[in-house]
This record gives sequence, C-alpha cells and structure tokens, in this order.
Amino acid sequence: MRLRGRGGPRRDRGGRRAWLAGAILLAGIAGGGVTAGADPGSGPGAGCPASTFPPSAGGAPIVLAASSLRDLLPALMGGWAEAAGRPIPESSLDSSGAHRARIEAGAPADLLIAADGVDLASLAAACLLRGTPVPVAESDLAIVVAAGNPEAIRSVADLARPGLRIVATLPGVPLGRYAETVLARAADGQADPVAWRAAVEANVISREESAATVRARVVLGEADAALLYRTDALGDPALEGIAIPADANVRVVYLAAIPATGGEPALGGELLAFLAAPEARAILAAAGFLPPPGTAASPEPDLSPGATP
Amino acid sequence: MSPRPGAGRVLLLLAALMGILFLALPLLALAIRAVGSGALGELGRGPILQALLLSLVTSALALPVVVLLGAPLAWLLARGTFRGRALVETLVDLPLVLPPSVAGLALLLAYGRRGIAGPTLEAAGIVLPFTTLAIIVVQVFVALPFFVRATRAGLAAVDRELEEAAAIDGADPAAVARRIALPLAAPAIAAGLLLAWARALGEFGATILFAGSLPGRTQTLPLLVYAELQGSTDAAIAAASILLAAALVVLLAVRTTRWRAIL
Repeated sequence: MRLRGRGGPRRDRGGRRAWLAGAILLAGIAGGGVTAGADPGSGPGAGCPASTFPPSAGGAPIVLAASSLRDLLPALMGGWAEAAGRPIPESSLDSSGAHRARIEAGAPADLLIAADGVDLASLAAACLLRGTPVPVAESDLAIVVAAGNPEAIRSVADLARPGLRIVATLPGVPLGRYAETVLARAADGQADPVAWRAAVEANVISREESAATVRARVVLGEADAALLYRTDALGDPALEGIAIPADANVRVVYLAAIPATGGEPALGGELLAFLAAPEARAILAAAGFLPPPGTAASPEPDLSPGATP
Repeated sequence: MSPRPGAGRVLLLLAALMGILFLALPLLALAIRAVGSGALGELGRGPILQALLLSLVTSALALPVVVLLGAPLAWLLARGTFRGRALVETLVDLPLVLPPSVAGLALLLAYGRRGIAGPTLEAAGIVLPFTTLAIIVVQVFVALPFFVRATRAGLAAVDRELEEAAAIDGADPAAVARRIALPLAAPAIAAGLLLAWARALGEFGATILFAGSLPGRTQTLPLLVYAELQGSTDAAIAAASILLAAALVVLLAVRTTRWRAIL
C-alpha cells in the first residue's frame, strides 16, 4: 500500500495560498504528534480570524464521523440527545479525509470525529477548527476475513500469499496510513522486505474510499482479507477478525474537534464533552474501543499514525 | 427576434438567460480554476496520464462490443415487428435513467464472486469484478442505449421505398443494407458511437462499485477525480478538465453529423 502524506509533493503544487503552506507545515508537525486536550471549542486557533459562519437557528448539530464508527454512532448520538434533551444530531459517515475535504469546501459541521490526527492538523492549519482536537478512543488494526476464515490467514505475513484478494483504501484515508505502518513493520520481518511488499501490493484488487467500504467488500465476499480496525470485525456475523500482535500493530487514536464551519459550536462542545462522559465511554467500550490516552493508565499520547504502541 | 419586445418576451429571455448562466457557471468555474491555479500543470504527471490511458483504452475497447451487441438490436427495433417489443425498448432505455450505483450493484450481484453467474464464470477461469475487464463491462452496459437509440432512429428514417426499388432492381437484402440503409443511416450511427463513447469515458458510479478503484488497473479518469479530492485538488481539477473538454468535443462533433436531433 502506497502512502501519500498530506504534506507530500503532490500537495505542494497548488501552494499558492498561504494556508496551504501552513497545512503542509502542520501536517509535518502532526507526524510528531498533535497537542491534545487543551480547551476545546474556545475559539479559532492562534493567528486565525474569528469565525465568519453564522450560527443556525437552534437546529440539531451536525456530526461528521469516521466511517469505522458506523455501528456505534447512533447509540452515541442518541445517548447525547437524551442526556442533553436535544434533537438527535444529523450525522454523516465517511473517511476522515473525505470529511476534511468537505469542511475545506465549507460544509457545515459542529463536530468531527476523525480516525487520526492528520486531517485535523490540516484543518487546524487552515483555521477551520475551533480549539484543539481531543482524543476520544483508542483502537488498533486487525486482519478482517469472512467468518470461518476460509483462506486460513493467520498473520500479516500471509497477506503476501499469491492469489489472495485484498482491498485497501485510497491514499489520504487514515486506515490507509495505519495499514501502511503495519505493512512496513511486517515487511521488516521478511527475508526480502521489498519483494514481500510487492507481493502484497499485487494482491490489492481495489482501493476504497473509506474503512466502511473496505469492510463491505469483505462482507460481500469480493475480497478475501483486509486490514481494518479491530472493531470492524465485531458486530457482523459474516466477518471474523484476526488479531495482530501488539509489536506488529499500530496504535489507532480517534480524535474529535469542533470545525469552524458549524452553526452550533456550543452544541459541538457539549457533544465533545459527552464523548468523555462515562455513558459514552461505556458505549465505546461495548463496541470494542479502548479508552483514549490520558484517561486510563496510559503514557503521554503520540498521535502520529506511525507511533509505536 | 421581434423588433418591439413586449414585457412578456423580456421576462422569457431573462429566464432563459438565467438557465444558461446556471448551466455555464459551474463549467466556467472549473475551466477558470484549471487555468488560473496552474492545475493543468498536473496533466503531465504519471497518475493522470495512467488514468487517461486506461480510460481511453477501455472506452475504445467497449465501442466494438457496443456495436456488436447494439447494431442487431437497433436493426430489430427499427425494422422488426414482434411481440414484447415495448419490453425490449424499455430494457434498452433503462440504463439511461438507472442510477449508476444501482447498475454497479446489480452487476456485482450478477457477475460478482458471489453473484448469480459468478461461480460459473470463476469455474471458467473468469473473475470479472475489480479487473480492467469489469470497467469495459460497465461501460458497455451504460453506453449501449446511446448507440442503439441513435442507430435505430437512423435506420427508421431511411426511406423504405428506396430499399424496395433496389430490391426490385435485383439487389439482395445484404446489398440493400450495405448500399442503401447503412450509408443513409451512417451519420446517425456515427452520432450514436460518439455519444456512447462519451458516456463510456465518463462512467463513474457503476465502475467504482463493480470494478473498484486501483491506480493503473481500474482507476479511470472519473474515478481519479473522486480519489484526488482527498489528495491533490489540483490533480482532480486537471482530470476533470480533460473530461469536460472530451464531453464538449463530442457534443460539437455530433452537431456536425446533422443528427443533432437525437441529442
């Protein structure tokens, strides 16, 4: 799987606007970690003008979420609506990269839950976030196959087996960045890393636009295996997850932030706070997500996609 | 134009002008952005050229299949009298109005690995989904109606008396078709081919579902526009400009065939 970082040369070409240069800079910084947890929703980032998006007239907040949160988003949103006595938020699921592109184009959003910090860093650099991103959950990757594991896949190394049909994501999708790290680690353990990577690459039959569509390909039986989030294998009897050992895995951190394009930033802040509340934590835990760094006994978060678990 | 336009006429023109503006502005915006931001500089880059080549090759390969399947169908619909004709006509028109995502899903359920015909195909060593061949299958599916409709209209417009006269003079049916029907219908057939090609080139929704998206293998130019929205906006704009230019050229070319009526 080829990785194209957001700060890569492909992005540089259109670097006429100052913010884009900033985005590249911040995306680079994001590689080393996003500052987390500081005063969410207080206003635009340093050096950014005050938001020019007018508040809407008391409607439901709009939540954009990583597609891997599909199964638990209704419970989370319903839980907040009930606790807050508000209408259930309107929500949309897609890859974090697709959400970022939409917010850059001015799509209204009061909360964005992304599967890594790269797109958020890019938005922050473009003055499109209020406050800083907050980690809300942790996860890692697993190999997801059809129930019963018909291809008898045991480890990441098996993904290079000739003839296996693998689906991956488009570049610019968090899952793709995480999978890249896992594959790079697995390649290191091979006698010929380059040949092994080429063999895996040759098995990739499609690059999908989000984790949810990757999963759908495995459910439909069109793909034999995919690197997905551990939680993707849960909750669907057609699927089975094969765990990847911690030393070969990657630490996935979901982050939430309040986009500047929303009309209900206050509600976005409430939603953000709710994600840290025991009720939301319970919903996340039931769906297989781990508590975010800082809440449990976990070390200082390093939110870069390539961070060692 | 009337020398003394009344208020009603002015309103009508104004409304028409708004319609023109509504259609033209997005296309103008794309063109302006493509030229102004230097996005066209992306055109020479590998991924775009690769996608362009794939689009050109697959749509070019789809055309002969379209002709092979479409010409007999058009002949049948133009000349034949048979029961269930309305049904066949509806079937041919269906891909025109069917959402491409529906077509893609239907193709997957028919020819996918777990589709109705999937296991049979796989036993024969043919796996369609996520292959370059799948792109062509999709393109034929969506482009066929354009060719059939135009060709059928062209054949139907041929004066039957000319054909009968030729037959009386001793021409056999094949000669009548070759010397009279086909030359007279040629402009319509050409227009149908052009439109079918444009539709095949622009196909997106059914392709991404049935053929997936893999650079070099199944990522055609329209798919690259979508994929690059999450990567390089400039590349997306550059690829979109090519498709806009191709669509424009095709429509202008169809106008020159004097069969613009089928548009």
